[in-house]
Amino acid sequence: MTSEASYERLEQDELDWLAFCYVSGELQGDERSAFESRLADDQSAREALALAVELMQAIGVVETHENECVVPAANQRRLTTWPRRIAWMSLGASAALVLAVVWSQLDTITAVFAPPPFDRRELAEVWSQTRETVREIVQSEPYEFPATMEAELSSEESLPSWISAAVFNQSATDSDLDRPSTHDES
Amino acid sequence: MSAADEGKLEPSIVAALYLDHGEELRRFLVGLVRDPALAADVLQTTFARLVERGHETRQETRKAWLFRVAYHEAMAIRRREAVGDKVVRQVAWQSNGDWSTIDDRLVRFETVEIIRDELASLRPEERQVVRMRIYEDKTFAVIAKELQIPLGTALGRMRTALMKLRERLKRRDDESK
Repeated sequence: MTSEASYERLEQDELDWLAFCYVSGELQGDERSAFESRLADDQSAREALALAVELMQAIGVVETHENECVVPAANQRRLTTWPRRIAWMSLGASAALVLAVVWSQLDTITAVFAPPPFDRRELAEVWSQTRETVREIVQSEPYEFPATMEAELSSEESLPSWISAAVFNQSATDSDLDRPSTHDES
Repeated sequence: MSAADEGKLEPSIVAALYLDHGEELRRFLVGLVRDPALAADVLQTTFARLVERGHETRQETRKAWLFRVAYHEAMAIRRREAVGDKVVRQVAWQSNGDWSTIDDRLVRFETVEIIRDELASLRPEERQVVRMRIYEDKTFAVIAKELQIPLGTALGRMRTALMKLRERLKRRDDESK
């Protein structure tokens, strides 16, 4: 690494550390004000701040999962983890599979075990609920799922509605002005 | 296209800019205003400005333009909402040590997995300081006292750990380009 590259690396490390200190509340008074002023014009500082936020949140999530046993029960329900979702989805899929097998072998099972009378409509409803549960979990994820999953998110759904509204309302309003411009827009 | 539309950014460009920079902008704003809901409001305002004035920007500087507008909007809101004092405290999700209120849009699953792997590869003493500072929300002075190490050593371990974690995230960003 050249001396110039080393210097740049040191500068970036210093900036990243400053950003972390700012996010974690370590900077006080003049130091904090100076960093905030720097954010007005320094794109590197802004990106360092964004990275610091991402880093701290990711660390918090990891440490929370590692220490899950000390998380209050009320908060545990709100923790969403990929392994937990996989477990629930697998459970749902397994339940659906069991229902499907039972449904297909219903007559045989009925004949052998003579179960009490049941409502086939109830089974169909449970099957639909299972599919809906899987769909809800899939739709709540912000990122792409493997093709095998029932991912019904279209690319447009990853954009918030206000983006479309802001853009297309603007376009619709402008298109009403059906007359030539009388000024230079340069 | 009417004369009024001429020069306006194409909707597809606005959408692409949101997809490319929206998440990073949101994180930047959270770092400034310390409130995910407020950050979302400012993000929306920023992109509204882009729709209004984006045609005056150059493509190569649009990202910096977005961040600059977001910065000024955020500072204006902080003044209006008297958020200044809150900024001195840590980011909203840390105020109660309640990590369950994390906004999923701020951190992706794959980022968490990357960080999980890197944390596991840190030296134990570095990992310990990271956990105590971020998860347990202890000051460096308290950490140094509990671990019976100099304050500079505690800071150094944290800084080294952060450097390794940041490098890993930056490699992820470079690989995704």
